[in-house]
Amino acid sequence: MRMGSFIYGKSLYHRMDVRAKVLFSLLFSIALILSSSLYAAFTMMVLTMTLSFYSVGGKETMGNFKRIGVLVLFIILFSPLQKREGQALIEIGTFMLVSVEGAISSALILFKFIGISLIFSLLLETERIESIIMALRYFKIPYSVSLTVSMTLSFIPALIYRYSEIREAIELRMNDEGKKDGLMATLVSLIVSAVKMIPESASILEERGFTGKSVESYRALGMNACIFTQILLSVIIPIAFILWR
Amino acid sequence: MENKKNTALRMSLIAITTAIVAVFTIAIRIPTPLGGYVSLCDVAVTFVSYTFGPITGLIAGGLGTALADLAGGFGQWAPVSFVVHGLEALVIALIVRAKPDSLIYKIISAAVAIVIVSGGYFLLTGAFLVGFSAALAEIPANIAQAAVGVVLGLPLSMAVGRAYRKIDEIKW
Repeated sequence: MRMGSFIYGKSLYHRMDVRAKVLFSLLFSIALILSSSLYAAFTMMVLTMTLSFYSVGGKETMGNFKRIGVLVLFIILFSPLQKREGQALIEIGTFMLVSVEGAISSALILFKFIGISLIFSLLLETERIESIIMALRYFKIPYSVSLTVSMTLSFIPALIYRYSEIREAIELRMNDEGKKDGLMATLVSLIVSAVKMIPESASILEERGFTGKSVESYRALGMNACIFTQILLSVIIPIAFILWR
Repeated sequence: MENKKNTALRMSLIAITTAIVAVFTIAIRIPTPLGGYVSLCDVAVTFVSYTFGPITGLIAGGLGTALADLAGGFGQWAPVSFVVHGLEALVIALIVRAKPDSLIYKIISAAVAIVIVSGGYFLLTGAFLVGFSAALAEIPANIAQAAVGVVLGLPLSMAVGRAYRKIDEIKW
């Protein structure tokens, strides 16, 4: 089980500081959501596509497109029909099917959607989830929240492994007819096995001296002029797009 | 000391129930006749709400589905999933808590959950991601997924309760 979709690489975006990337992704998404200019949204989409091609390669970028393909198709097919006032673009007899305004509005939605999808995919493909959590801790996300998320991330692969073991064991005990009914038995066994881990996990936390208060991390993120410049640029670029009307 | 123990227990409860929701979303999928898949995230969300109460449901439902979106490469949906499934879990738990043994209340909570999931995804993805026309086309799939979730979630909750009686001691 691979948590996240990190792809090893040495691109400029890979080498960028994780805090700058998290800030850039959030602010860039907000800039895309707020954008009312078709040109600004198009430029942002092209920028994310270029970043993606350069950082993780064409195959992964196309894979990201493939994942959102159905919704892109829905946007192309249905969004233009929503706005039908103004100049006609496609007419059937006297009936206006698609107006110029409708097509522009759909293109804006499409550019925004592709841009937001790619910028988040790019963050997850160029940073490990653990690093993103460290960045969130740097931005003063409470210790108990980051610890809970870290614990969850360590439980997920363990539970998936346990699920596959339980499913195989139950399938072996059933004939072909009974396998269809085995899902509920598998889910019950998985949940009971997971719930039994709750008191064990709480005891381990207590034994390690957990008090609920923040502790110093061994892997704290540092700061220097280069990282500060990256963070500054991560704020300035999205703000410039927000101001582009 | 007791307070420390409670905090540790609550954190473990949240971490494990969140992991259960994420695993049900990522790993356990039922193939549909049309060749697609239905994720069982709503089954886990319903189970956690019925069994562990509103606060656990809110956090595990929201965080579990959001983490699953992040892990599965659908990061843009994570904020939407967090809000929709968190709210779904909270409302289910609050309705059921009013009368825990009433089947009618459980059916009402199931119907409300379907409305929250389909309506929430429609409103939030429509407003922030794909536009309302494309979001409208997604409604049937969201209704189907939420319906499967609440239909399976209730018997699952009862079956787990029978299989592990001590579960009633862990609630938040």
